[in-house]
Amino acid sequence: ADDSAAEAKAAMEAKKTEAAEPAQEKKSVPENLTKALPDAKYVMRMAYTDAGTWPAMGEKPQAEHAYALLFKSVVESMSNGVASVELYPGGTLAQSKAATEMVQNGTLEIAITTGTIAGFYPAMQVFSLPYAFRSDEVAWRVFDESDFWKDMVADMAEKSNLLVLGMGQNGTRHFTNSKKVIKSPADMKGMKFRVMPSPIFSKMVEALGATAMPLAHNEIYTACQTGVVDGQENPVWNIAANKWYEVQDYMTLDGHVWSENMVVINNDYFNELPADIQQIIKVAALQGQWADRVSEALASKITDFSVLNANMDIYSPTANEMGQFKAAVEPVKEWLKGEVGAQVVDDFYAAIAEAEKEIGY
Amino acid sequence: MGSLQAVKAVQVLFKKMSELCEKIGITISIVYGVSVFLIVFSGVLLRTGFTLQAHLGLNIVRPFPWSEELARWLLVGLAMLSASVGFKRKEHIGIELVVDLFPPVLKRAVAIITDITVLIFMAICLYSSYIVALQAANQTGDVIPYSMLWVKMNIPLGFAFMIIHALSHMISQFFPEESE
Amino acid sequence: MALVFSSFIILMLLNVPIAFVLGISSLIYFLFFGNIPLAVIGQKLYTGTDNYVLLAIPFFVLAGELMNRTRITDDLVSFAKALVGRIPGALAQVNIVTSIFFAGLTGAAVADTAAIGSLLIPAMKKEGYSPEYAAAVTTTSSIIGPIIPPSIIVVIYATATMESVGALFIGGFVPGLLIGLGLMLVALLFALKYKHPRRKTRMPARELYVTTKNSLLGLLCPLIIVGGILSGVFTPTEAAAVACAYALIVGVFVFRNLSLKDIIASFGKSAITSGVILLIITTATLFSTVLTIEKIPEALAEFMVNLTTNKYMFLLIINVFLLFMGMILETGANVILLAPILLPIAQLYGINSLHFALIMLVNLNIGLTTPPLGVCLFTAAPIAGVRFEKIARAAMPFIGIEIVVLLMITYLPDMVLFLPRITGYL
Ligand code: NA
Ligand code: NA
Repeated sequence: ADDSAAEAKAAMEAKKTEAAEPAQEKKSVPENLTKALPDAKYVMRMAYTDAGTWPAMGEKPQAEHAYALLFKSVVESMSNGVASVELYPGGTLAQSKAATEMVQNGTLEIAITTGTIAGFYPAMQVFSLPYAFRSDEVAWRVFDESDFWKDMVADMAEKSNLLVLGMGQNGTRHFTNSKKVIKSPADMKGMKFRVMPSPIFSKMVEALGATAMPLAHNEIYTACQTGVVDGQENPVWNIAANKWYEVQDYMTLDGHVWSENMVVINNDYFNELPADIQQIIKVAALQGQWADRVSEALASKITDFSVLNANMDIYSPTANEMGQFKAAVEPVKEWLKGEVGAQVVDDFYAAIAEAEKEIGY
Repeated sequence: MGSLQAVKAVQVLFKKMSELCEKIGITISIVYGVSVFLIVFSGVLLRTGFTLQAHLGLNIVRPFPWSEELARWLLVGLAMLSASVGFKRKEHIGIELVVDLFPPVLKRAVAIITDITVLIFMAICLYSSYIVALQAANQTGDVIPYSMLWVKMNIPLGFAFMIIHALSHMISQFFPEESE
Repeated sequence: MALVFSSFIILMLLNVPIAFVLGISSLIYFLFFGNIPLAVIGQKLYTGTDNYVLLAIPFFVLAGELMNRTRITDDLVSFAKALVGRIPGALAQVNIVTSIFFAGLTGAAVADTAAIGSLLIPAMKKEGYSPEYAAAVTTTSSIIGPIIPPSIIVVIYATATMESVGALFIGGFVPGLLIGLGLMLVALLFALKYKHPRRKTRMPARELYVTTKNSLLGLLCPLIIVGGILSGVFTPTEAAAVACAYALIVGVFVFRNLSLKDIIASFGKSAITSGVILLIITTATLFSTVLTIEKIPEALAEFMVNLTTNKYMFLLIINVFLLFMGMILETGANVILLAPILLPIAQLYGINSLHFALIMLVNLNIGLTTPPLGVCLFTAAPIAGVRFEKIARAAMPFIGIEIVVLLMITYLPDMVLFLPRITGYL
């Protein structure tokens, strides 16, 4: 839930920064980019938290918005207007958790969600296991190719009525703080880190020797500024969008968690659609997924990264130091085994090993 | 004569129910309020203790991971139930300036129409929030591994109380008590 | 959308409480226009208050309630008398100065009107002030309450936008004090013209010492709140709970006049007051969903940019618009509906976001003392025993000076921003 709030705030902040540019050229978002086609037989509503202001404002769309635009365009053009998608960006219809709930009970067709799925399908917490994915492409390989993921998607569709259409990325999370350069877990000892209210994140921070302070998202800025907490952890674009770099001096690119933009559709609704429309939706979901991933990467690796680079002391841990981080979080794995079963955790690591091998690590 | 007595009985019944709902509403609100205060304040104490103990090299005190979520849950309940008490005590105010200009008959007619409109709105809120609460039954909190059902049930409960207050108020408007 | 807006206006004029006006208008949209399921209402009713920062609302009401029951208000009045009792129109001055002090305990203007009004309006009447004048001084000075921290409306503003509560709290001191000084000036002019009484003698040193000592406990409260936030001991939300704990300790152990019954009653009162505010926040969230889906903010931004590209002209238009909105709509609802719309537009004109926030907060609070929806007027009227229209008329000169202060804040941003700047918030 926290991440969705994070996104909403970031979306608003992005709107604000973009708005700070000269007023002269302001134009609104074309209606046809968000509204459904009038004569469509199948209308799907899609809700997400990122701002929907591009292309009117901003140089590129935020990741979820990129997903939604591509998805809508492909569905409508391939179905010749028989199927259409209505977009509700910026959390207007519902924030991530509420949107997932609405998809589950059929009051909304599609939602793009972040960090909320554990409350609906606990086994999905395996993706938040720290240092599981060594890079984006390993995650992509697991979500695009592995049987492990296909089985999990099928099981979740059956048990919770949520069918995963695609997996964009919210970004890789890193630690920031206002005290000192963190090179290894030893440097984190005695520090206080704000975490989102989710047990696995608390366990991780504690396993690294620091203390976890679950705080609401909208208290992060002030809490960092005044020293209620020493640090926090989030993806690069989010740190930039919320201007946390103003109150945090150091960042360690440890990349502890790869966080998702998961796209879910109501499973019953999907199954009742004609086979050709289903196929079109699957294709559109693939297109959207890549737009989402690329959009996030451009922000976190290039544009927003340069903002952080200009404002913070950024440290990349060595291979040896990364080994220390990974070793320290072993207890988290054991804890999660107790929560969701050892089988799923082991299968998850097996899927990663296979993906890494295929990629050539 | 008999029908008048029946009306009177209904009126008394609703009045009693409304008073009971008010009492329940304020009691739960106070319990929620006190709990939320204890949770948030102890959070401050524990964190301060945590910071201090670090200087002494101790590791005894630890902030509760669940306090943030539980406090939010209690706030939702507090908001709705105390709003219902506020409704009973006419604390939700509007603009009286215009209706005060109306002749008494029109003023009363307007009051009846707006009361019914508000009643319909509250009924839809009750229904909608009840459905949402039921659907949240197999969903747990982010930190607290406990069903959201009872958290979300506070909302329809608050609206149910408000509806009883509204009905009691309307009945007493239609049939003003003559002698009691 | 026309139906939504017209039903909004009609319901409001027909004395339907604001929370329900917002809810019913949204419902009409959901039922007849949007392709939106009713379950959204149930969802938003939950998510509207499922927000940690909003916890500060019941706490800030509670702290004021508890303090009031310890009779700290009497001490503040005595202290104010010692300070300004010899200025012409002494009791009016005392009323204003007490409001400045009391602002550090309360987060809402109504609480100020009720607490100080019930003490000072009768006293002022006894000294020969007209009841409407006494009430006018009380209501117009009570809006200092939500401008100086703690403040409920600041918390709502912070949740609706990105602004930090800490920065807004620090930023509120100067505007609050300026309004106080402005009001004192007007009261002085009235006193000179109508020969209002004042105290002629010095206060005995012993009495001065006792009142100062007692009032210090109340005056310390805002310092604890702001100091605690600045030093990182607690977050602004937690600060509200700390303020309550402080009031409890002072009441139970220092003044020893806060009984268990008082404490329970205070919790009840604070719950009801916050319930009313939170219901408005919830339904306002619902209505702002409608506005966003219908792209009203974009339309308004476009309209504005086409109207003027001049920053100073824009600020003037916004101030007039907000004064109007402040008169007809509840402050919290105004903030939730308008802040997310107007802030990005203001930034198009290069206006600092904290500066804009302070303009908006001061401006909307003025609406608390004007008809048709001035809650402070309604609170003061029965205490003073006059119709609120009469109070409103008597309040005009005071509202006039408040608008002058508002314009100063608007066009001299450094005057209000220097404090956030030196404390590192800007
Ligand atoms: Na205040
Ligand atoms: Na006053």
